[in-house]
Amino acid sequence: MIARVGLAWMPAGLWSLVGLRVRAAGRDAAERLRTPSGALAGVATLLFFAVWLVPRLLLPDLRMVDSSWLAQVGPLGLLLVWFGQIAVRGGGEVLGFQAAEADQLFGGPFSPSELLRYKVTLLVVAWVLGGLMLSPMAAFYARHPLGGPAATLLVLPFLQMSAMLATLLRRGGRRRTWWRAAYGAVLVVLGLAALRVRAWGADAWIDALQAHPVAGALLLPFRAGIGLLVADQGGEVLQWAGVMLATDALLVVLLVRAGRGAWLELAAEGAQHVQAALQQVRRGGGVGTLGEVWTVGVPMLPRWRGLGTVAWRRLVEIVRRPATFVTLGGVVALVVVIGVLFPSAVGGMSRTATARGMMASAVAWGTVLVPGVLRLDFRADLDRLDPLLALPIRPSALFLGQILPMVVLVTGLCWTIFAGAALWAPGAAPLALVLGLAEPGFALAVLAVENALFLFFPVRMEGGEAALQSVGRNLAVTFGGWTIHGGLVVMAATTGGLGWLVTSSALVAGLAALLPLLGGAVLAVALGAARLARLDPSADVPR
Amino acid sequence: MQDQPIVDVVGLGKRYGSTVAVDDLAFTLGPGRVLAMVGPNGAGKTTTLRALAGIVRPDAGQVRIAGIDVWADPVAAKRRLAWVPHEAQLFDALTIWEHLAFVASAWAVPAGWEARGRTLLERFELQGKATAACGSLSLGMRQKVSLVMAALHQPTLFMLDEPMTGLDPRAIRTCKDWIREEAARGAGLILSSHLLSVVDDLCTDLLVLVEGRVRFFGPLEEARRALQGEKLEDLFFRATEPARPP
Repeated sequence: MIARVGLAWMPAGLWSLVGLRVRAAGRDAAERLRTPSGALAGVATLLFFAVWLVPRLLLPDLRMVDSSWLAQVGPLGLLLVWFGQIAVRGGGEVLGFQAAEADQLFGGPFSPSELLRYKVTLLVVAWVLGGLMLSPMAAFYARHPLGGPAATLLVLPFLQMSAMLATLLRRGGRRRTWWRAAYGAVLVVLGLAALRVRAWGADAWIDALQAHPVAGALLLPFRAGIGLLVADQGGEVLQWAGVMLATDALLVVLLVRAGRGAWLELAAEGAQHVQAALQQVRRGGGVGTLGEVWTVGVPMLPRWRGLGTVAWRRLVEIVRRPATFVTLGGVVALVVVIGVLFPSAVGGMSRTATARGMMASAVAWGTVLVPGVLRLDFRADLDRLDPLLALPIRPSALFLGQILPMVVLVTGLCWTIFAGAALWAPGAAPLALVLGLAEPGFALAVLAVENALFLFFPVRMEGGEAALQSVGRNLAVTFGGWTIHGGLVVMAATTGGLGWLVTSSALVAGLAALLPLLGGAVLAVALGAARLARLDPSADVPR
Repeated sequence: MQDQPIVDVVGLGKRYGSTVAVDDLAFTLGPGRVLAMVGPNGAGKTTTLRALAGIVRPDAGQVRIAGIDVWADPVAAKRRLAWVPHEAQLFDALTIWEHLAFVASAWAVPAGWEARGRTLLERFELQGKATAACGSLSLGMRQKVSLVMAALHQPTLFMLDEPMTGLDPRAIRTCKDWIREEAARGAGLILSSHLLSVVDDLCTDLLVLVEGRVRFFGPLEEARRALQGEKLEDLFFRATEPARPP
């Protein structure tokens, strides 16, 4: 009977594939746990559960939930997240087919409807397995111990399946136009509603919205999702879980109906996009290497024994990536937001103190975060080490040429913020001078240390089953780098502070802070160049 | 000086843990010669080419390019060679022309390289794509760019790992003609390929590698004489046949 129902849902071949993939994922996880790093990660996870999570699960008062606030604002917030994701995520990648699935199954003896059922089946398995792993974390955010796991198992499928359904419904030119018009209308309604908020006040407006018959019905699944988190009693959890389960079941039915159409080309296109992005990340590229390329001309730099040549090549890659400027803009926005919001949050904080805080955060985010996010240095050239090593250029010049453009970029960013902060709060000008003098040394040291570490311990970011392992290794290298950066900052603060105490001169303090940073940078460059001279890509770089 | 070999490899050895990649490899290559390096997968061809390019440091032996020890003076040796790896990775955000500008700067090619660059682009049918970013190119186009980059600085030695990968028939013919012309100019070429017809068509010398050891090295003419009417393919299979236990 079960077999007959199963075969009515999808063919035996697809069932077999689902089974094989689940078994392969289990085998892979077991193999990872047998490696030293995998075992270490497992022990660390267990420790985390024991020390941090268990007491919070047992004592509801320790959990991070303000029920009344979440119950009121949560459904509307979840609705906005849901609307945003179905409005923005429009490509075939939303359907979730991998390149291998598109290659091996789309040409096989399966109807589009069967293929969509296969995908939903696989997603259900992934939701259950992933949900079980995330459940303890989710429980931390819920009032009742069962609320978190139920929310993970039922709300995530709702978000993913509704995005899939929206993608299937709006495929094709005319339908897309119709959908754009619908999104426009929703935005107009939201704009009008915002005017009401001003008149009524936010709390009264939200209450009125939930009481409205149409809006209330629309909000029901979102209220159910949030209800799972804020429910105190088991019966309440069951009630909301029932609503959520019914919504998910309805979505499965609608998906299977919509899956009868011609969507394979869209899904194959999406699979290709995802595959291309995964390959880019696998090659070592961070955010900086993704997305389109601008055509900005950069004049060739003088050769300088090859250093200029390599730096020019790297500079072109940096200025042609829009992600570079988005990230830099993000840092400036963060610093300004801190400048505007922090004083009001703390209360009574002086303009000078705020400016100092802004400059400190600029150093941390601009110098440490930006290169780590963009990774536009050796970390983006994992698959190009052969041609780079074959260049008739000394390793020291090659190493410096790869990192100098980013050093100049983050130094320029920080100098701009320091100058702005000093103009806004003249009392912070001495610190701006100290930091401005030390910044080039710090930026050089950070880039040199991170790249030298990367050459000693190259990590290839993986997709799919091996992703967790590579993320763990990458985190270990990142924390190692941050520890060294922290040590350098302490040394620079000590020498800079001594310089200030002895002379009361910002210039002397800045130069004194610069010295240990430059020392660290020179050492890291020497180590990086030495490593480069002996690096064997075939043995030292993971395939 | 005229008789000095372009490549002189003596006792080259490289191990990865317990795996022997290359063992006691020795060969020479003179000017104007085209050496085919053939062997089954994992025979040590790419490791040998990487050692010659100064990328992999061998555990034993010596490699001289135009008389320069690759590990004693790597920069000088690299100036004399061009290495075209299998499926070369280009810099995605740089245009084709900028790749040539990069090569001209890195190899310190004298002023006036632009005319030669344009001629090479035209020859490989890339002239209309000079300003295209390389990230958007097909596999074949990328291979053509790699070949043009290698040719731009007129090296003494070319090392080409599967240079015909992804090329269309017209580009394959262009590539073959270009290889013959470079040999006629006096350059040495090492060509690693699984396409024995290409080897038969282009090469003057043959090096058969199996499990990192030389199974045959000598002029192709000599190999042909030994074959007595058999095909090159037969020689390859005989030379690479796994040893049977006694």
